[in-house]
Amino acid sequence: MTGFIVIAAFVLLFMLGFPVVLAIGIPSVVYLLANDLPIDVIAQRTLYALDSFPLVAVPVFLFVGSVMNHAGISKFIYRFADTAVSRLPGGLAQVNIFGSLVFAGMSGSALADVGGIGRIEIKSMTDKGFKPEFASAVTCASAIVGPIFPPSIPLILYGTITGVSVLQLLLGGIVPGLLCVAMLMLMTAYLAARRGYPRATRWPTPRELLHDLLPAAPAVAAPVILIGGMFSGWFTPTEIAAVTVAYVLLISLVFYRELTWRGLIDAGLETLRSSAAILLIIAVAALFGWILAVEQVPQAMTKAFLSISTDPTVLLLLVNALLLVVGMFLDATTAILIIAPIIAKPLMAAGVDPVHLGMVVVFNLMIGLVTPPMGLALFLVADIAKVPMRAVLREMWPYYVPLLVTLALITFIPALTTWVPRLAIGN
Amino acid sequence: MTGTLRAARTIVRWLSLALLAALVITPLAQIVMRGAFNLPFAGAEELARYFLIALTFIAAVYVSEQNAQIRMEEFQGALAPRPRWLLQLVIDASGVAFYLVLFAASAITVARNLDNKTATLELPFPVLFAPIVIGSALLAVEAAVELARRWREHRPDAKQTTLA
Repeated sequence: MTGFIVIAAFVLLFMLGFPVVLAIGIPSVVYLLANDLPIDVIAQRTLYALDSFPLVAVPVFLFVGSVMNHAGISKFIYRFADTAVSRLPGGLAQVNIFGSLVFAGMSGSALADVGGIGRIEIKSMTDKGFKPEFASAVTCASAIVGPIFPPSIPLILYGTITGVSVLQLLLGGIVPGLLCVAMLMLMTAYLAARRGYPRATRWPTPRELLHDLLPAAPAVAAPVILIGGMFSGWFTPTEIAAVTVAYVLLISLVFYRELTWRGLIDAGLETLRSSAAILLIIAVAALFGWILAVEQVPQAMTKAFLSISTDPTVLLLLVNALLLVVGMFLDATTAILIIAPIIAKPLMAAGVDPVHLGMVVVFNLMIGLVTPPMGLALFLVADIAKVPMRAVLREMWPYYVPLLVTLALITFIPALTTWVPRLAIGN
Repeated sequence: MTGTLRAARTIVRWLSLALLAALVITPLAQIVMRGAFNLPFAGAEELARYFLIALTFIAAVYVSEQNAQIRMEEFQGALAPRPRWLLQLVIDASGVAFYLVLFAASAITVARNLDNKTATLELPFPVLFAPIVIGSALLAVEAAVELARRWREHRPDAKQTTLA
């Protein structure tokens, strides 16, 4: 019972506008003091939560996204995507989605996608006559691929919190990421056919394709190196993150030559702002999680879940419903840190594959990024395009269909997530 | 006071950037040692983990200074100015209290473990816990500065939702 009071206190403080660190930390400290528990627990739990090598990948991958944006790499990715797929029905809207996939292969954050390549995509689309609301909606929907296709900050967090292999989770994101892109492209083609959106008048010649591929090649090669390194087992996820930074810095300085010293410092400061905010929550959430464990909340949840059904599919559907609602109100980091340890236990007890569950959890929460009232990607994109959020939402509605269809496919066909990691382990 | 605070913030910013660089360099050095010289870099992972701990608590001060902590102020934004101002004062005051508790807890933990060391690098516990002791103290100062500013201004800040 006390455990649920601590959770209720967190929800109340969060809704009142307390920073998440305080909304989690204050009820935890009050619990410890009220129960006369040793004060050392606070420092030990918060510090040891960060004593994790996979977590090192979080700031390092965030740095990759920031450097790419400051080095102008996004521009070359976009130009290549434009040449490659602008003949498809929907033209630049398809370029937007394809460009996000390439960007996703280096950055694990949806917001880095929106703030970086998304900015270029929206401007290009509006310049070619697309409504800014529609350009914003496509950018928002395609940004979801960022944290699904490896690398992925939310998947690293999920793995660290639940003890599931981060490497397997990242590899597990490959097929769902590609599937999501395919679904979004299909919906765009359908909308283009109905609304008569412009597209390139012809397919590019091999010479044209090569002309725009060559400048983008160093950037496009990065995801190949990254996935290859993970698949072969040469590197751990953290090492891969460091290699990607080194690679992106190298191509920025030697090949693209747009990264200035000031830009690098700004990229670093941007990384510090987002990563320290997330990491401090992870530290304090460990204390919160410890209290829930002491109060046997996960066990109570396991009992409650399993009393409804022991069928993994039914339980996954329940988790989908729960997380879609949670994702509308909580940011992804907080939701993963608070909800994942509670729901992982009963679902795994019912026989759900941990990697499969991780993908379902993260995909749900990423949909939360583009749903009101707390969809940060919506806020950001509306701010960039200078259009009201309501207008973006009107254009966004059709894109919930491919996102939910992808979620359903991921939920009902575990092999879509587990096939690649198993293949890698087999190798 | 303002000059000291500004100097402290500059130091925090550059120290955090240096820690970020160290976080990238340490795993890279491990790969180079292993791949090029076939030599193990003993303690590389422990060192990287330590840099992560240090970065979290030191850079958190920069996050606080930038008012970039993750929070949702949608419901708070619906309140009238005076209750919203009072609520924001309560939030700032609770921030000061929370970070002071964290500071006290970490200082007590250090005092009780003065002779302990970590496994591989044999880092003394006072060094291991230094980032959390220093970071929580500076976070309390930043929260107090914010509280004082808001008290002086007698009006709430505009609604600001930060989610990442």
